[in-house]
Amino acid sequence: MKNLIKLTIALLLLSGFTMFAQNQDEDYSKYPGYVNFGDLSVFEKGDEVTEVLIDQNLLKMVAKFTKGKEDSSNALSNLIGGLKLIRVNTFKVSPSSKGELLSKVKLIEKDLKKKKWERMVKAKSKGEITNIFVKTDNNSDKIIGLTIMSIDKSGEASFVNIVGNIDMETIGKLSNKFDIPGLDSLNNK
Amino acid sequence: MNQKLENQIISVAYGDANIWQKIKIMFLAKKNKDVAKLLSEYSKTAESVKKLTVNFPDGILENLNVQPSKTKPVKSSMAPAFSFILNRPVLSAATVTAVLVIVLVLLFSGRSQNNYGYTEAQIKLADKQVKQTLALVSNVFNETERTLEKDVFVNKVGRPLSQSVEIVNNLFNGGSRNEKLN
Repeated sequence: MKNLIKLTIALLLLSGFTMFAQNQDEDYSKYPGYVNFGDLSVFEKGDEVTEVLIDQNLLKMVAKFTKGKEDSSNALSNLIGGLKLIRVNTFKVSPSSKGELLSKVKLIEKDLKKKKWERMVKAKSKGEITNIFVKTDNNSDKIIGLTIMSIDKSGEASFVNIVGNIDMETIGKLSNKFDIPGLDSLNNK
Repeated sequence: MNQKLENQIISVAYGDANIWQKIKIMFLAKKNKDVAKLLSEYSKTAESVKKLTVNFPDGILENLNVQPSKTKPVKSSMAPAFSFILNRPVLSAATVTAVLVIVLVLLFSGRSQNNYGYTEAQIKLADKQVKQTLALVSNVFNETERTLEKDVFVNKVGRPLSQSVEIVNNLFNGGSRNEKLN
């Protein structure tokens, strides 16, 4: 009987540690909305580099932090609470490596098409390129992944991957209402 | 007097009765002389029985074949550690204090780190970054919409379309003029 109790305690401790370890280092590649951009550091030039990686636990905390009395705060909180991962890479790319980066973008595009991502936007003009892909849930048609790959004339490249339940309508509404600082301030973190 | 009451008196006299039975019989003995007499008699008999000594014949105990119990006494491996701590008041007090301190530290550290091990500063920074990311997404969509409305529809679709209409108009106008001339 005592051995059984000891074994139960040991198993409980082990499962607790396993759960803790899983939360600490979750494998996001299992989510269909996840995109692996690979190593982008080789294209980064200068100091204007922003890397943002916010995991599920931190997003939950942010959702709690954002929750307020207003409906708009609650809408934003619900939106953030439904997300699993946010990854943003913005950097300046040198003219010499711009071609190489464009090739990488094409490879990622191919990969996304294979994985049945839907292209929402493809804009390409005068040295600028913008690609927006969305991944929808097969059963509910909800957006569960969003990927943006954009390179502008000045060589500013942005790679964004948002994993989770994404409500585009709420994003559109709230971005105007909250007066959220835009692209320029993202670099000044 | 019934048999049940007599049995209870015997139990009280031999000291086998519980406290309630004892009180009940004492109370009855005070009220009823027969009960008091019977209790006194049985008490005297019980005293004489207790004084009896039993002498077993030589060797009878040795001849008894008593099998030892097969079940081993259960002794916890932690028992020496527990007895070592519990037998020393200072050590046990120190252990209790240490356990309390650990529990309190865990509780308060968990509260300040919001369960996931993130500090308030980290959450505030993440909040800012999440909003900036959403703004970035929104900006890209707005920019695309603007390009579509101002550049694609106006310059790439509207202008060639109006030029085509103008050419057709001119052709028609020219054609009607030619018809008049003919």
